[in-house]
This record gives sequence, structure tokens and C-alpha cells, in this order.
Amino acid sequence: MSRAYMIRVSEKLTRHVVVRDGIECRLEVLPILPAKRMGELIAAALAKRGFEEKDGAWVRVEEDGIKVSVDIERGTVTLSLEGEANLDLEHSREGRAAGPKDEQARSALRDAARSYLERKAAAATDAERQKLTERLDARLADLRREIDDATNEATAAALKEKAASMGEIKSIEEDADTGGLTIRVKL
Amino acid sequence: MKRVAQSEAELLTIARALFGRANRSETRRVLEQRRPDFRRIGETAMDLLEDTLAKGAVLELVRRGGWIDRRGRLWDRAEPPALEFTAFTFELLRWMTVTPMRAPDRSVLSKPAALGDEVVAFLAADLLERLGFEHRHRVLMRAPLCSLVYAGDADEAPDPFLVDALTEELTRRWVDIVNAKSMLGADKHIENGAREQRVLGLFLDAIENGDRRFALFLVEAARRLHVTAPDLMEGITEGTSLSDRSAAMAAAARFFEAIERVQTWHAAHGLVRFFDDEYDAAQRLREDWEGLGDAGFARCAQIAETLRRGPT
Repeated sequence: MSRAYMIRVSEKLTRHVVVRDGIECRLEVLPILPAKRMGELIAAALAKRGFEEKDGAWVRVEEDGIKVSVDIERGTVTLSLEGEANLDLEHSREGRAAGPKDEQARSALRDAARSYLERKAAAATDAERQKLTERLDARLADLRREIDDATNEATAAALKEKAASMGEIKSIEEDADTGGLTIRVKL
Repeated sequence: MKRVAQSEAELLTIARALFGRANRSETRRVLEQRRPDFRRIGETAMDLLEDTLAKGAVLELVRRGGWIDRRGRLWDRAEPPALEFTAFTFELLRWMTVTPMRAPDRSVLSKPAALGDEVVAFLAADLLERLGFEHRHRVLMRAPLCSLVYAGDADEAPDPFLVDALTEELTRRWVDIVNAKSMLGADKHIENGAREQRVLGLFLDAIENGDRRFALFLVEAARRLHVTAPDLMEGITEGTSLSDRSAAMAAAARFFEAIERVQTWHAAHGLVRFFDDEYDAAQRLREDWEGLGDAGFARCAQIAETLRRGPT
């Protein structure tokens, strides 16, 4: 009669993961002046808000790590956040074996433990990504509003330039509440 | 009484079921089974098949909307083309008879080669869907009419006559397609959106410089839809990443972007001067699409814009 043995295997998984999330949306620009001039006005509005030109895009990195990047030429705004985490997971499995040196049973247990750890690692990575998404989500509305403010400022400046090119500006009225701008021009 | 072999009888059952003229449980039994393949049928069975197809296809097109009087009935609006059936129809029916329809099948059959084939492919998908079988089979989704009805994978637009005949059916289907978005997760939104963009793009390209009245089903679907952009995103789970949510929203905009394209036509039709040759046609289209009207088009454009803007 053969005896049944219980064997135990332990597996460890150590991994450095980088998670990221972000969105890309359109930069809404009205073509009031030639594209090059509109780009200059938007760049000026962004520079006032702390953006710096880097590799052809206007970039600002927030205190919480969110990167806001405006590519005026492509007409896109990208908001992104990246995070890192070190995963250190361990898992043990027990099972029956024909003997203490039953390599087949040991290998099957090891595979099951590894597969469990891979699932845990995927879940932990996703949890890290979700934390990132929540942080980004919380700032999204404010950051979009700020970009909208910058484009509105550039649009107002473009309208004034356009009006000046058409004739003599008699008056400019700006309504801070509605964002309305009335320019009277003598042609 | 005419006698046919069992395999022939089963093929004829499927053919009759396409037109709602077969016993439901018998049809289900044939669609579920795997049976030995057969390459040909006898003369008697072929006569019966031809008779079933000839009468059934015409009747089905009339039933499914051809009867509706829109500036005349279907057969008054244009000379009806001949509904011909090629080897494709026989191959399709044979394949449905011998293959279990439970799982998606990647069989490569030929493509529909005639109008009758197109109708049969559409009715086959419709039958499978009604009986709860898998209906998004590759062979069906590559057929142009079927592809327009189900947002499939065809690389060409269907014949305008069939679109005209099935305007009501297409309207209803696209209303369902858009409404169903509220239950989709991000991955499915992205997958469906890509197909909808391709199918609707192909169709609008095909009619843009021809007869634009065939876009009526899109206009009608837009009129019947009462959704907002947030409604369409209800199926997105909370933990979904912003990048996936953003891509899902852009994908969900495809139908409304097609309506935006039709909106530009609608506006252009309003600018055609009364002494221009196209004036009467443009006015007819303005009238036909008035159900949606400028306000409805603007509402759709607003939905498209909101979705394109992404999460806020």
C-alpha cells in the first residue's frame, strides 16, 4: 500500500509596474486670424498660465504629477498621469503527492501558484491604475476649464486684432459673467 | 404530392423559414443539428426552392416596408429590378442546413452576387436572430445589405433599391443599435463604433453624388431616438480608465457623426436656387427630412460634439 504525502510549494512575485492613464481631446480654436497667428496668441495665453514649450508642445506638470500638454499645430490637448508601484506578492499551495520527490505534483502546484500570483499582480496593477484614474478624474474639469479659458482669451485677442484691421475701434465691452465681447468699429 | 430526400426537405424548411412559412420547432431542429454535407439537390427540390424564393423574397420586401406609401409605393418610386438568385443562395441555405448555428462560424462562402442573394443573406441573419441563434456569422456580415442592417463588415454599400425597400426596417434596427449602446462596456463601444463608422461611411459615400433620398432611414432613426450623450455611456463601469472612456465616447459618436454629414447635405439643399436644375429634388429632400428638421439635426450634432469632447 502506498502512502499519500502532502507537499507545499511557495512562490514569490516581485515586479515593478508602471501604470498610466490619460485622455486626448481637441483644442477648440476659431479660425479668426491665420493659423500661425492664432497659434501665437494661444501660446501666449498658455505661457501666462505657466506652460512651457517643449518638443513642439506647450507643457505644464501639476504638483500632483498630472501632465497637461497642448499641441497647437495638431490641435490637441493631452492630460496624462503616470504612476509606479512595486509589487511584492507571495503565495503557497499545498497538495497531495506520491512521495516527497514527486516532481510532477510539485511542478503542477508551482504552476498553479504562479498563475494565482499573475492574477493577483494583474488585479493589483489595475487597482493602481484605478487610483490614478480617480486622481486624474478629480482634476479633469478644472484643467479643461483652464484650457478653455486660455483659448477664450486667445479668441478675444484675435477678435480685437481683426477688428483693428477692419477700422478704428470705438469701444470694447467685455462681460466677465457671460464671456461676451462687443467691439464697435468705425469703418 | 412531390417527394424529396430528407436533406432536401431540411434545406427547403430553412428556405421557407426565411419568409416565415415553416414550422418554428422544425426550423430550430435543423439549425441546431450537424448533418452530412451534400453538394446538390434534385430537380424537384430545385423547382420548389426556386418557387419559394421567387414568391417569398418579393412578399418579404413588401411586408417589411415596401408597402409604405412614400411618394408612391416601392414599385411606383422606381422600376423594380429583377430579383435574381445565384449559387450563393444555394450555398448559404446548404451551409445553414448542415452546420450547427450555435457558435460563430468563420466559413468562407462566396459573396452575394445578385439582389436576391442579398435579400436571402439578410433574412438568414434575421431568422437566426429571431430564433436566438448566433447571427453574426462572417458570411452574413460580409454581405452588404446585412452589413448595413447589423453594422457588419462588408466593404461595399448595398443596392439602393433594397435600402429603399427596407427603409422602415433599417430605421428600426439603427434605433436599436444606438439605444443598445447604453448597456455596452468600453471595449464593445470601441469595437462597434469602428464598424458603424465604416458601414455608414461606405453607405453615405455611395449615395452622396447619387440619390440622397436613401439616407432617409438615418434621418428617421435620428428623429425617433430620445437619448442624450450620458445615456449612451451608462454601461461604462466606474473603474474604467479615462483613456478607454474617452475612446468609448468617441466611438459612440459615430452614428451622430453620420447624421452631421447628412445635416451638411440638408443645409446645402436649402441653398439650391429655384432656377437651378436640382431645385425640385432638393426641395423634396428638405420636405422628406423635415421630420428631424434643423432642430433635430442640431440636437444630434450636439450629442456628437459632447461625445467627441470626452469625459469632463
